[in-house]
Amino acid sequence: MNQLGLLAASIASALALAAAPVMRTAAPAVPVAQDAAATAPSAINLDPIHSMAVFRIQHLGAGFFWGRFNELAGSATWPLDDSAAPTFDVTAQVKKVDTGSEKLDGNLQGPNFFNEAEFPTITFKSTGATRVGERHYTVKGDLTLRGVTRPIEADCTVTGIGKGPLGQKVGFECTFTINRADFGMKWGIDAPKGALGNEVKMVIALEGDVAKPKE
Amino acid sequence: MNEIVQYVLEVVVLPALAGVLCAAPFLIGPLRRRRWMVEGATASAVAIAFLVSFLVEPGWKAIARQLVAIENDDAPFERWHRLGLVAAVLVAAAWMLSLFRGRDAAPRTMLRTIGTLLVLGVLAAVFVEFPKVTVAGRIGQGALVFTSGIVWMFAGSSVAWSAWVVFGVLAALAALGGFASLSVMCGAASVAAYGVGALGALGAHGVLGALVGARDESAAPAGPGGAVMAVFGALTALIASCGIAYDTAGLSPAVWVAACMLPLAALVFNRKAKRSVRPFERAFWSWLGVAIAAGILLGATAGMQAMGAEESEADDALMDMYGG
Repeated sequence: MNQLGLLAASIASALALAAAPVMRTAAPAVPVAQDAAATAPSAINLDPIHSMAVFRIQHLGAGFFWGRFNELAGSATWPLDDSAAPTFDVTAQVKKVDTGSEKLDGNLQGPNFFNEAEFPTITFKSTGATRVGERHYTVKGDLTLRGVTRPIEADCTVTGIGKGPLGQKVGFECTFTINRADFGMKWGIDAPKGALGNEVKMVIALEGDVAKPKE
Repeated sequence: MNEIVQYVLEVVVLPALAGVLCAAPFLIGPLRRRRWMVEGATASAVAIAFLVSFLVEPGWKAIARQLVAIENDDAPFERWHRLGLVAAVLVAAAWMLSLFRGRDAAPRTMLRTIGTLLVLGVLAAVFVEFPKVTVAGRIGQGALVFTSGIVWMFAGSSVAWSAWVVFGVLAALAALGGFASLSVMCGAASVAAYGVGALGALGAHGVLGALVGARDESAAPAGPGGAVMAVFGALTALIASCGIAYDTAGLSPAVWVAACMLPLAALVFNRKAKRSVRPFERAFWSWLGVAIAAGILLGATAGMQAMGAEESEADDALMDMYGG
């Protein structure tokens, strides 16, 4: 089944390339098995300094307000030749929320929002992926926030492969949108009505070091 | 209607009104003749206001979730929601304790009150667990419930007015600590206490009597009986414990504990209160001590927070300068 999936992906890519360049982005979504790589996926240790999650929410029905979680930790896997989809296991510390205002950070860490005292981490673990283009995937996974786990789909791209002093680095960017009420974070949606929006857009920027293979 | 005004109406004013309306029959009219009813009504009104505000904010499921698993409910279990359950228990406890007072002779009432506070302290230590609290913290929480109950004894006839101030201070501290839901619930309790105080004063004088300051001698006085001490003590102490556990603004636990001890400040003008002939003057002097202490506590807390923010901004500027 995995090999069939890979074959189908190759045929679709070849047909798309032959037809017209514009069709490359419109290629049909093909499920990609995470372990069906010609090359074994590389283990990638996330670099907390260069990994962050940025979120956006509407304030009082007016402007969009941005904040971020600094220092994401965790790991990813991905074969550098793009022969299989990436996997992610990412953790954000609620204490690392950063809006540029200490008071606002405190409010967000409080029980009305993330409730850091009881739920100190937010985690995302991928469960599968579908290729939508070159280095471009729809990644499915479980997001756990405030102790509630919900399946989500994130649009992920590999942003680049670079070389650092200690070895290769890979960058990813994933975006998805959640309704915070689904995670029990309801303050400000109905009461006070419209204080803060329900829909939260997340942009996750990850950079990691490719682990050197064991000899 | 403005959304914020509507929110305040829903979570503060209406819950307070519910508490006051439940207490009203026992504060004015023929039922005002029995002291235990006045106490039960005063204590339960504040607990009802807190409970109704809780029911409007996180909802009844948050309380039910503390006791049983609810079908098709995948909302998170949060420990601070136990405060809603505590308020519900205290509404019933207020009337039970008042009924005992109605039956007992005076010496037994005091012993029963101390015993009740000890039991409440133990129950609070065992069954009310907030996050990151150690065993020592839970013992401290139990002790705070007991002590907070005892200090209400000093509030004298200003018990409802003092409760207005103490719950108001707790509401302000919760707001400073970034805990909006707890703040509005304390606000509802505070407004209910104000309503009970006003209604109690009216009931003690009658409408015409209130205008000329003459007291209806047959009206029972409103004072800190066992029900009031138990309910106000347990509620204020557990709100303080909750505020300490969930603090994100760096408020000192001592500030929360001090808020629970505010009724002690009723002793500041004790001499003047004792010399006063008119009951409302006695209540005023007791209340004034509590109000002044509350003002000092809030002023000092806000000042410390402002100083902390300035220091932090100075640190940030330094970091910016060096590209940190």
